[in-house]
Amino acid sequence: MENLKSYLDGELDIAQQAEVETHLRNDAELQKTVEEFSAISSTLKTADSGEPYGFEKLEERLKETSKTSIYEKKKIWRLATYWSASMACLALAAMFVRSGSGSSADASAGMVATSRGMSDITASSKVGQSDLAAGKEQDKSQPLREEFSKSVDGVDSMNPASSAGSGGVPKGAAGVSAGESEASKPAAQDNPGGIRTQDSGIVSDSATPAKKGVMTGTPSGESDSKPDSESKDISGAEEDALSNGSPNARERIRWAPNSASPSSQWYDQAKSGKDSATTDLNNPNDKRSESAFKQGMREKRDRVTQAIPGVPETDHGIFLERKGEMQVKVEDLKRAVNETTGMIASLDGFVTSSTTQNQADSGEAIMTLRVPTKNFATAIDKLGAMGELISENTGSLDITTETVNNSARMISWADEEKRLMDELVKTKNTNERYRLKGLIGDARANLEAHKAQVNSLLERAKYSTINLSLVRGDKAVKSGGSGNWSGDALRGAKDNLGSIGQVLGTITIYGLVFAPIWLPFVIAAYIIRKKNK
Amino acid sequence: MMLVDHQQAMPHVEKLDISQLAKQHYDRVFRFCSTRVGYHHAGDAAQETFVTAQRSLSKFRGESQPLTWLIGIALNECRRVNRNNQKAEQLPEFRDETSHEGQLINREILRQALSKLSDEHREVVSLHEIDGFTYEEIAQIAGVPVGTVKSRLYHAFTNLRKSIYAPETTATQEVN
Repeated sequence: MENLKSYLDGELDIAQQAEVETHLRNDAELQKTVEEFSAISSTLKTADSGEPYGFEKLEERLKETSKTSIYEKKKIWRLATYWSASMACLALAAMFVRSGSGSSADASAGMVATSRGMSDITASSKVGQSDLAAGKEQDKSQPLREEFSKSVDGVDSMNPASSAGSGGVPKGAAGVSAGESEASKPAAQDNPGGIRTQDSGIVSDSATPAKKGVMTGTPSGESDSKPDSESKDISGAEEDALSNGSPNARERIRWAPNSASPSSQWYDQAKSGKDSATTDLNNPNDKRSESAFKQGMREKRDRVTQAIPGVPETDHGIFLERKGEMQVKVEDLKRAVNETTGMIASLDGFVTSSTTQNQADSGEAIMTLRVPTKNFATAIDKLGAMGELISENTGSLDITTETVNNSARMISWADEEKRLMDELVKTKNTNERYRLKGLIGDARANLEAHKAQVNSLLERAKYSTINLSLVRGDKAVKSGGSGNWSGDALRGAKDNLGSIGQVLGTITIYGLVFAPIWLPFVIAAYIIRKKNK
Repeated sequence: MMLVDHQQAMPHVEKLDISQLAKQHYDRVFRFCSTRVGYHHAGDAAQETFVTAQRSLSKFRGESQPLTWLIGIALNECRRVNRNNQKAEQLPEFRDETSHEGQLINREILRQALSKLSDEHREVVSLHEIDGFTYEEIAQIAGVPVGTVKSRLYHAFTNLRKSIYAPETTATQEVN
């Protein structure tokens, strides 16, 4: 009789109510149950909940809470959302701008992005692409020897007046002849230790090796008795020597430019112990000192550049290591290899390595070619014309900074060696001679090390490298696909996944970088939301 | 004075004022809380109920009466208070009525009988008999159909009756 309670509560309709009443009339037990239910219900209704309190406090709390109403909190949340979204857009924009600039440079050069190798090339492709886009041979009019020696003389090449007096040096090129122009002096004074190349935008501080020189403990000889003002016009290399911590270096810098004699007598004076620093460089009337300075600098430049083998031509004073990767499909592999060897030889180049796999239905020859940089473009064109060009990637690596730095150090050590030799000639004390010989040995070791590095760098700049793959038959990878659809699909998927990973990685990095901006808002929003709940 | 626009969510209630709601229903919410968490905690529980309601005002869809909605919040608040105080749900106190002396049951016996009920049955009994909610309102508060409310109420009363008028039988049943 589940309706019994509902009957008591008056929740039944008329028919149900009548039905229950019929039962009640005939069932005494049911009547008793109804009475007991009523008694329970009546007793329950006597529940005492006490007199309410705390309404005033509630009103205060509600007013207080209304100050930070839900709408205000919503505004904060909305603001945080907008801010975070803005930051995310900014990060994405920055990311795309950065990647976009790189890709446009690639496109202008007609370079094909590769997924393997050549990473160093693409990194500096912007530099190399300038020649490729121009589509012309590099400037052959200016030998590196001259430019290079100017650069290492520490004259600021960005000074247009300097280039005017250099005689044939392109404007804005790596350097001008030291001391050739009056205008170059202030520039040299402003940046005595720096070697600057305008086009590369690299400012190399040749004081770095000088710091190393301090460690080597350059011996001290004659005391420094001349006023400092005399050492005003000094080159970068000389500044290096000066920074070596040797008083002799300062001494040499002072007396060497003041010499009125030709450069052939420059070091002779040191040998004979004569101090020719009687002329004053600061005296504008003393023409002899100025001409001696110029002559000394020229002599020094020539002396240093004699140690540099090869004269790689350079574009605007930038040393570029050119690299290329090609895959060419040919009909006859053996003939193609022979033609390549002959063609490279005709361009004054050579083959450094060659591996050939020739089978019945397919074959591949992998060759590493070195060609003079000036013939790089010609070689690429000719190699591409040997058959069906499947892929071609070219690029450049800027080694200007490395070259100039090493050269400056080499010059510094050459001077040091010369100075020590002069001292050795003058010294008769046996102990002192032993000490000087030891120092000379160190200087020579350093000089040779830097010379080797410079030689290596210049060799890289002089000869470009081409990795050529000549393929025949099935080995050839067609640009439209290899025919193996599953392999192509897998390769494509891997590449795409790699790209997605790169993008996700970049976004993550940007997100972390911008975290100090957006994270506080997100945390604040989270706290507000939690409180609201 | 905080007004919430419920024109879209609640067409029949354009503006809902929490202060007005508090004035109208505070006493009832307080009594509801008092029977569940005890008189001393009832004030805090009732206040928290309205503060929570203020925060959740935008979520009120107008599908039930505001009081029913408030009681639903209060029910959760009472559970939270009891949980924090590590206490079971409080049993209501009963006044010492003399006018119906012959009909009324001993208060302690009734409290014991109530304590023997399941939570669901006790909740339905409290909502209907003590708080005076209709079956429909109880169904909305408890989130169950009206038929379930009726059934629970009948079985709760049957158990109460057995506990009060035939305790031995109940004990035997419990053992079984």
